[in-house]
Amino acid sequence: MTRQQWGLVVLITVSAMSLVNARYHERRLFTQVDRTDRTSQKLDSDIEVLQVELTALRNPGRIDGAAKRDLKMVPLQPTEILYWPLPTMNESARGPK
Amino acid sequence: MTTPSVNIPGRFRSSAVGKSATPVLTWRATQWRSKVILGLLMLGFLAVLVRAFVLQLVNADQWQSRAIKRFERPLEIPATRGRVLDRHGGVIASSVREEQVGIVPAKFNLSNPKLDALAEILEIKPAELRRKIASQKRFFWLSKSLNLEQADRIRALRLEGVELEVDYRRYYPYGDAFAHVVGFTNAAEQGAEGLEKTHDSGLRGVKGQTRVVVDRRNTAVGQRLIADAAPGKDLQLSLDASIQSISQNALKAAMVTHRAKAASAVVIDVQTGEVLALVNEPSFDPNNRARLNADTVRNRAVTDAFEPGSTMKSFSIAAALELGRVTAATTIQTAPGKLTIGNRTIGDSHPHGLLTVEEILAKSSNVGTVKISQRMKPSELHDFYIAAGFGRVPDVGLNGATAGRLRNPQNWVPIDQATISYGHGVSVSLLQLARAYTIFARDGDLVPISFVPQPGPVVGVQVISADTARLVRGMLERATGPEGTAPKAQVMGFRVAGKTGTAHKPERGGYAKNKYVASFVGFAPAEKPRFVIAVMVDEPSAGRHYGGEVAAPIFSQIANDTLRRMQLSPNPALRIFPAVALIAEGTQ
Repeated sequence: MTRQQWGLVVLITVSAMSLVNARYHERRLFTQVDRTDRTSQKLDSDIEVLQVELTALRNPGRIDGAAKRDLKMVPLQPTEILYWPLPTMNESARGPK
Repeated sequence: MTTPSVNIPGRFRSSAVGKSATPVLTWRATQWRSKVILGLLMLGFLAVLVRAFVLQLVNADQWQSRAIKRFERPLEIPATRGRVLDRHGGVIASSVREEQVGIVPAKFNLSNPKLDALAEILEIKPAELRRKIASQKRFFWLSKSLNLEQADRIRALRLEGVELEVDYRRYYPYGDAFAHVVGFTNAAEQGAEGLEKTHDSGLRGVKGQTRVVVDRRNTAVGQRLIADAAPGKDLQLSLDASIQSISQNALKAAMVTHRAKAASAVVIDVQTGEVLALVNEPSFDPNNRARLNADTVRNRAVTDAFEPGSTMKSFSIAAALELGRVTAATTIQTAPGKLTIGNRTIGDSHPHGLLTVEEILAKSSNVGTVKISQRMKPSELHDFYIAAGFGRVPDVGLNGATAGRLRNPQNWVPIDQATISYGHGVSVSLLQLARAYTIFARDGDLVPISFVPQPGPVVGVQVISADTARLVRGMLERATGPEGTAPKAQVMGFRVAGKTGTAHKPERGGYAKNKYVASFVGFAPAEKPRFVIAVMVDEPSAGRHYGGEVAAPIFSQIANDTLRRMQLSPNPALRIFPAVALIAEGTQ
């Protein structure tokens, strides 16, 4: 075989190997994209679950029930006055503990 | 020299032996056969070439698509259903992506050591899982939904006979608070009841499609997107979760106090006609619909019609005022507290004597209202009721909304006009009643009501003049005063207005003696109304049944909490004197 023919054989071999390599990379990248998509879906699902849980926790009915039942709180009527002591000058100067 | 004999089998033997028996001669004799074989081979190659030509060029598209089909699998991309939000963006309904696990018992190996791991992920005992699978012969879904992480762990086990499928589950974080108005979806994520049903097309979204390229082992190695999924649109409602909760708490407490069969409340924004709250009791949890019955699922405020009783007197008197048949100062003799029409006698709870029109409404005199209504033709009263929205289905976008019952005035006899003027012989839904009262809370126009937020104040259809509306508003405020029927509707620090209603329940062609519907419809603050509240209590049976005793306190509680929730300032003219001084913790 001539040199040119040898060169052609090498070129074809390299090209074929590059093609195989490219296909391999394509599949690997697809797997990674698929995995990332899955993670994204998981995060979306988690966000949705957390939002639902947050809404359920801040349900005014639940908070009202917990305040009355667990903390024994009662609604303050307009006719009631609640006196609250203001911090003295010395306490204010010290700042929060 | 003798020619060696050649033993040639078959039919050539005789001729070869007969003509010449040499190898050369034998070759010549078979040369034509070689040519035939060569020709056949050539023909074969030609056929292959023709076939290749046809495949590659003539029907290339068809064959290519068939080849693609062989290595591509169509896959549906599910579209997430839109969320339902309250007016402040709080999530009322939301779909969460989960996966369901199914078992094919015929393929599942019960002695597989990975079964314990599967049971652990499913959070059930291995023995129980084994028993469940052994008891089934056909494919079945394990009822538990899994989050995506659990599903991936199961997938990693590579168990034969286990199948996973993406599933969306609808969650309602407020539980039973919005159940009747928002409704729920069915197993296919389609709206089955309430606003979920009426707004289904917008919420549902459009599914997408993709084609996954697989290898010989059916492993995905690529994908081709055909159409991306379009998620459903979020639906923002005019409902306010806080006011809804306030209303529900008030109704729940009243149900216990009055041992009632049912109760409903509706809160409407006067300026926009938006529904801020709509609650029915008893309610149900849309997250757990295993034991539902028609009584709890029914949206009573919208689908049930009841005889409103005295709450209708406001409309009879407003019609007479608008038509100029009476003025606020016109006096009517209601003594002796009884009035006979034909063979029927109408009476007041106790005689009131000579009353002005304003006092008739404040004291809720049946006799006075009938005498006022007698100054109108039946068609005039009927037309006014129709204009106020009674007798026709309100356009609210909820299935099953009732039109109520308002008979044709041509069929009215004198007693019909009399009873209809004070809310008997006519039936309405609580939503219709609440909407109709916006006429008095506004300047005489009737606004359309809506469950979705409005961009700003709306203009309604004028039913009565602004002057008449103002007059009736004043009368309704007096009805909640000390001399009225509903002093228990008052809210400390605010002026309120409204009207009580108490009606016997219709039963077997007549009226039940001990079954009542107590109602109250009012608005606050009276000087510049912000919302209308309508309350209905069905069959209170703890001794008290009057609207002023049963429904008015519920109105007061809802109005009180809603006014403070809206951060409206108390009326400075209504001075509040402290009755109790609480000492906070740590006070010296």
